[in-house]
Amino acid sequence: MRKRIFKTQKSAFFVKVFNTPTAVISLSFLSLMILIILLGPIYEYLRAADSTRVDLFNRFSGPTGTYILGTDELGRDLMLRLLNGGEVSLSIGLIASIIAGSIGTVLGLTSGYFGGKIDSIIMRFADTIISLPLLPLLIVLTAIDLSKLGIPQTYIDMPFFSTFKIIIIISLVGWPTIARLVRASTLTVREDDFIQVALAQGYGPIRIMFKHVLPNVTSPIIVATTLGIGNIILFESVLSFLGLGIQPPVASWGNMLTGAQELIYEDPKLAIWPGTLIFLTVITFNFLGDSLQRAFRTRSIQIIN
Amino acid sequence: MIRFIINRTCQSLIILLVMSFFIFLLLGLMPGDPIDLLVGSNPTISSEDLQRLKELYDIDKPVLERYLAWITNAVQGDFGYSRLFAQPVMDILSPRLFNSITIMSVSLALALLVAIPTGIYAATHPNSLLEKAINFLCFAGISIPPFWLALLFILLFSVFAGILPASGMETIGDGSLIDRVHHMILPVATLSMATIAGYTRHVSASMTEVLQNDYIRTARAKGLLEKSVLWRHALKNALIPVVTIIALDFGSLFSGALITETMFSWLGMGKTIYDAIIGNDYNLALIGLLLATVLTLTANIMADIAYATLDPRINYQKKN
Repeated sequence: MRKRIFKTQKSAFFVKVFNTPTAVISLSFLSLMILIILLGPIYEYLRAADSTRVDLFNRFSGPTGTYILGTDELGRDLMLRLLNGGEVSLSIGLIASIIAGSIGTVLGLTSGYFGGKIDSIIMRFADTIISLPLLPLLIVLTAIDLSKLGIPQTYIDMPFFSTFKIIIIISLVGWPTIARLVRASTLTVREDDFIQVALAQGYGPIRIMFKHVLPNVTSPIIVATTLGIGNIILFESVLSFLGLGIQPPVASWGNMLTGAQELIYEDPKLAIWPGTLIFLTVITFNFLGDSLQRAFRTRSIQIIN
Repeated sequence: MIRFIINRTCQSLIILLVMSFFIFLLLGLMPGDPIDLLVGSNPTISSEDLQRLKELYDIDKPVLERYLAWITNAVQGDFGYSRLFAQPVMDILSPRLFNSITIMSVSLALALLVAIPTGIYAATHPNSLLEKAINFLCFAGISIPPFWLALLFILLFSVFAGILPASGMETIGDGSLIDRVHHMILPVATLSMATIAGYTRHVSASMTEVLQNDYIRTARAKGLLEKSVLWRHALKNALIPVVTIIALDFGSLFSGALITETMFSWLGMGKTIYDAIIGNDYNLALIGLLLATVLTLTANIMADIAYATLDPRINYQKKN
């Protein structure tokens, strides 16, 4: 086989990723979907309607010229609702995984770098969260009345409040996986010579952690965050489906399925569309994460060749 | 070993204690309190009665004091009454715990029966067409929203084909074993789907790793049958990490059970917890959540014990 020499590790990584068909297909599919969702407002403008508009004369309508995918039990445009719901579901997936990823990275770095008591406290905490039955606890967390915690009712009544609430709750329970991975990588990086050099230079722990250790543990962070997005979208959809996540009239792919179970005899398409989109999005993120993982693992071998 | 088990049990008890306080605190933050709900159902109630009720339920006391009172009773075996069912909490939970354990253990057994051979096949035939199909199906299994899978099953087998019941645990007036099994098919299928996919991936990854070891080469060089190399030499070692993962994954099996039970009206723990939280039934929700925590923590301890028993290299005495 022809030898390939890469200038930097980064370009080697990108070549590897773009040589993996799964990664390319996943990335193109996700880009296309995000593009379509971002173009949603233009479609809304062209249709001169929004996803909450009720049309009681056209309930359960099949696909027509006006309603490309038909309407739901209130005569709302299914296509518009899928576009808006996708915006909500994808934003939650991306934002919550970034927040959870950041919390996990900071705690994992701290845990792995300092070791000792700090390490055992953080890791015991992470293990406990991972081992608990998460869904029932998330249900309790979403069901609590925030006005009893002193948050003004005006904020709670705002339409996007439930979205923020879900993002925060999911981030709070999503960090342990990433923290454990970052900790494990930090433990190996910590023993490297360049850390000794940095210590000898008299750099403080924060500088060493973020400038010297962090760049060397990015691969597990990226892989775990990508895999996390899919999981978070699943969690959001389950909570919204159970009526505890995103509150109507704001649509999310999960809460669009809430009524679908009772209407399954009347109109199966209401159950099929949102579910298919959740499934395709989650499986694509999982394929992407998996191919990134493979690409990262073989990176060093490729450079030596 | 015994010291280790005692140690872990103590740790779990501490976690349980912390969790009980945490859940108690959270449930206190749920909308409305029991008195509001009573007032709602009886508008003629007087303010003196209200005060008396508040004292009866200790609502006016600070949360720590209420918690201490609750835990004193709980330790003595008095878990209080359910508001929704007007029955002692344990009378409601014990049959439901049994129902949950039934579908969870049947699904677990089914998942292992499918996942172990499939995982071994995937590990021994890398890059074959069937391996690729298995890999794709595993990804599908972990990516499908479980409640949507349940909806699809209902759509296919109850609405279109009409051969399986869409919900419930038995036909009223029937209740024979065949009827119960008939009602169990869809919930078990839903619950095991994600589990099978996850376990197959673990088995296959673990087998692939084990098969690269020198002792496998030695076993083959000795002229052993491939069957015996795989099942006796490789599988035994490959299953060690898998057993741990399965036990540690118990929490997510329970989460899956909650969804499945809610979708198919299966009267188990998960559905009861969900209904209790939605219906503001504090005592029931509290005990239900704590029982779920106890189940998970027990599974975790069992994971550690299994790990030590299966892998003689692990010695907990030295570590502690």
